[in-house]
Amino acid sequence: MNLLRDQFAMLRARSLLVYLEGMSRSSLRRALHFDLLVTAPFRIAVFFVALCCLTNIAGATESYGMPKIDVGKGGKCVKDPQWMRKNHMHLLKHQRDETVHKGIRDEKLSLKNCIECHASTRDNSVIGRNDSFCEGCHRYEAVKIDCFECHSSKRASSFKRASSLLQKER
Amino acid sequence: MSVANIQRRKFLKTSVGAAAVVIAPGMILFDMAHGKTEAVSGKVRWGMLINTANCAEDCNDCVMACNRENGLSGGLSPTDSQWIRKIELKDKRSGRELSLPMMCQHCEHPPCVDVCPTAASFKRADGIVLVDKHLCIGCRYCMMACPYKARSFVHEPLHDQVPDVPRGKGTVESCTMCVHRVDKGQQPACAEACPNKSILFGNLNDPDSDISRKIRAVASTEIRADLGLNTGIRYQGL
Repeated sequence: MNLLRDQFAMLRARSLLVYLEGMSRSSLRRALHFDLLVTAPFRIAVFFVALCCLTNIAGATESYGMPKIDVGKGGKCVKDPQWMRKNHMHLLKHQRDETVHKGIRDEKLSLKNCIECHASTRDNSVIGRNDSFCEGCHRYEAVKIDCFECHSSKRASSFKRASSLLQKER
Repeated sequence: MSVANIQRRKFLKTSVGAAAVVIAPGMILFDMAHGKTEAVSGKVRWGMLINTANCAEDCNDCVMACNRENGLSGGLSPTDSQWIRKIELKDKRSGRELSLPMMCQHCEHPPCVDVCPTAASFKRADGIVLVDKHLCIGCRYCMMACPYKARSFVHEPLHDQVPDVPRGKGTVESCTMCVHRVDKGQQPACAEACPNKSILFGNLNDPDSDISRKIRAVASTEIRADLGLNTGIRYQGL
């Protein structure tokens, strides 16, 4: 194998020599010029693009291919986002039993409170669009959410504002 | 260690202490404002005393308030939910007429809880009878068991529910005694809305509460007392 590769290299070098010998002095200079001005920057550019791609792959867990989510008012409340992505359903389920059966209404973990901050500032909802806070991820992961067949998906404070406006109109 | 270093350390200590004094009360207030964190206890039993003498025949305010509070449609078709309804009674012999609101009686021994196959129908420690809709399979045994016809089944998909009152297709529902309001220390919507103050809400277990005093003072009855369910709702002047 090594022998074969050496022979190929020799052949290539020889053909280059023959090629250069055949050229006139001015055309040789022109060829070198071309190499310095055009192909060298091109090669550097290719190198940088490759570098960027590699670093992107390294950071892919955070950004690559994830759905873009409208987080509403957002902000960290319970735990960091990555933990919440994995575990929010356990918190909600635990809290729901505590609330329904024992009347413990800890606002921090209540669905209503989650929606209060995370509903979109555009339509006050966490479902309905591809970038909605709940439905955006759930569509991407193809996991059906049952919560909003019964629970309101709207920000509670927006209801209060709407009802007070209605009363004023009356 | 140099003198400057010690002084620097002292300064840091006092400033951290001062910061804690400034910030701590705010944090405590913030924690207190985070909703109710203790469970309801059996020391309380919520109940109502309804004075039928004050209940006007043409008044529907309690029903309207209930519909508004809980996001019910207010329709009267057989498939519409009714958590509270007005009933007119007439004694044929004497011709005496009565009007009264009828809803879930929040029994101490609720038949709906006895028959529920999934334990979705349950009684909270403070005596409020509820449906856990996460567990309800919509079999409607409880509707058949209830002597007061208090429960409704949701037949159609619902939209725009009230944030405090989740409701959904395929589950049974009934008066919750406005549990979300009671947990906040408020009265049920019907009691608050009654223009004649005919609905008295309170703790039946507290001998000093208004409702306990009134029950001691005036004659009141349970509906279908013969069933021995010990209802939380009592009627005066029946």
